[in-house]
Amino acid sequence: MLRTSYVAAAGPTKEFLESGCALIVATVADDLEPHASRGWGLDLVGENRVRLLVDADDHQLHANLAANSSIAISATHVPTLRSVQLKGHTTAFAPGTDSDLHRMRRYCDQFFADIEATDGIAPELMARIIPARLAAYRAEFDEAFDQTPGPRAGSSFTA
Amino acid sequence: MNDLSLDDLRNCFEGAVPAIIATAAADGTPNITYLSRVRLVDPERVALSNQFFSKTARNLAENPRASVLVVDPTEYDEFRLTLQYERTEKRGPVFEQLRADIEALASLEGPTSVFKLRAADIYRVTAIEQTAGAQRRQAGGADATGESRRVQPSDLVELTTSLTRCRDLDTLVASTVDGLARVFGYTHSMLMLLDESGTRLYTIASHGYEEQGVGSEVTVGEGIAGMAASRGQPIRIGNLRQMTKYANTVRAMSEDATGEPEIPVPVLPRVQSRLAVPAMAFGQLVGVLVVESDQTVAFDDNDEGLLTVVASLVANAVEAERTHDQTDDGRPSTTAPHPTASGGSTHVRFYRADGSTFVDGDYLIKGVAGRILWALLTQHAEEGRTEFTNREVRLDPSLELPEFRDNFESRLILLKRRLDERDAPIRIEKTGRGRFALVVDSDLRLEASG
Repeated sequence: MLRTSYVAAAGPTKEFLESGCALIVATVADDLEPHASRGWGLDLVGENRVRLLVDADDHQLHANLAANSSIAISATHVPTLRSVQLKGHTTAFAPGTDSDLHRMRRYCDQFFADIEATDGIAPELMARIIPARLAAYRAEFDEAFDQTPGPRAGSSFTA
Repeated sequence: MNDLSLDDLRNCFEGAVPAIIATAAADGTPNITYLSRVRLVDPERVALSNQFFSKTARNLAENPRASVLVVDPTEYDEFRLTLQYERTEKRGPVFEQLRADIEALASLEGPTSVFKLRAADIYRVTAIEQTAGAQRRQAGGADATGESRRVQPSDLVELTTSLTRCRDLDTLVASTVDGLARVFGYTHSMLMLLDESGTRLYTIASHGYEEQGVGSEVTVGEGIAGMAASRGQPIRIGNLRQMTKYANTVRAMSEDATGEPEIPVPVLPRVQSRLAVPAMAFGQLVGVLVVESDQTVAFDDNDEGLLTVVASLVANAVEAERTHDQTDDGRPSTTAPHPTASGGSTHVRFYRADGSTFVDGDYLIKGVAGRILWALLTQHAEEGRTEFTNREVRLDPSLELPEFRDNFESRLILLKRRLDERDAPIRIEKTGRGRFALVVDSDLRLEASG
């Protein structure tokens, strides 16, 4: 049973998760080999449920999720480094659509603008890591952790 | 491993773009977070800083494998490394290198930093994979590479020749920072010297900054320059803005201002890269040479090597100049005394406690340099003197100079440069080796406190 309190209360808000946060993703193979990836846009689609855009050509990520569906997503607000990590399982896969491409561009505009403003890196340069094709996953989360650098890093929002 | 080697990814390990590490617990739960630093150990291994990412540490204890994303900051190509844990080191060169990285981060956070390297974890890299951007670049995308500084031997000869022709410390320090810009293109640099107590560095010359910052000080062991001094090793940072943001986030409390007058250390607006190199002579620290850039990862191993050579030249020249100065006979000058012109009235206030000196209410200098100025002005006021020798002034007990390595000449040059920078109606002019004149263009009103 998923807890329902963390998203709206002390934990990450819809506005936070759907902003231009840096999104990083971990999956794991059945032999416990971890795999690091990036996310390219995230939307809260229900209580503790999200829709995440990823690189369609990240074959290991798809193989891992097909095998066991375990996923961790970290979202970090670039100017403040406020961070949250969500842990749970994917429930559905879908090929990327034109709408997803628009969503990714909107995400990148904000993400890259924040990086440029705070770290001085040109958006044109960062655009080099944008994937050519997208895929989408729906995921449900039963844990959320504060990952903001500092002494509270790692504490649970769901405890 | 495929055709890519770790050496191809060298720029990724400069720490400019935070690395990302994925691990998994024994029950198959994945975890993802950022890493302070990944360091290249050898052609097959990297070292990760083990600080306070506790879930990652627990996962690695259960399942010693990791997936790490690193980004080349010059081209923004991204690579995924598959890692297998091998060992943990708590001493040795790799640990020291990582500790220097973490301490550089800590120095930005302040003296109450929580950053402390527990260990360097060494991993064998079993696979390297390019992610989307890198693959597109190989397919024909445009390159956005930075240009590494190429130094010709003739350039080094030119700078060396310029430095060896300097006849005094004032010319030497100016030629150093000017030469770094003219010959090598380091447009923003500063030369700092170690003070008499060995605990602070003071800026004696700078190039390219809006304010020269002559006389500004840092504590040995604090900040990038202070760390280079305390460790006796170059310290190089290529992502200062990102690191500063991280340090500020971790810092629990803001620093309190001391309220003491001080000269700000010159800083390049929007500085991204800073390289500080210790200037050593005869195994002793003489000072630190610092270069800055607003470009990410502007400096590399070549810059470190080149500036180490230049810093060593300068350190030896400074030491030679000090030796000359201390053995000089200090015979009276043969030049005519400087007349004292009157151009209005100037109030000089001196605080005996720390040598702080204010000219018409504006902070000028403190410490030994302040005491030197006060001694000169007092003699000028009481005896009308304008000509002095280094030898006689350094014997003045009120200066509180140490008997060994008293830094008198460099403090005098610091004072001269500070007076010139402030366009003060008091100037110091060299009149020969070990001799100088005090030029006063104003009626002085001297006031001492404390």
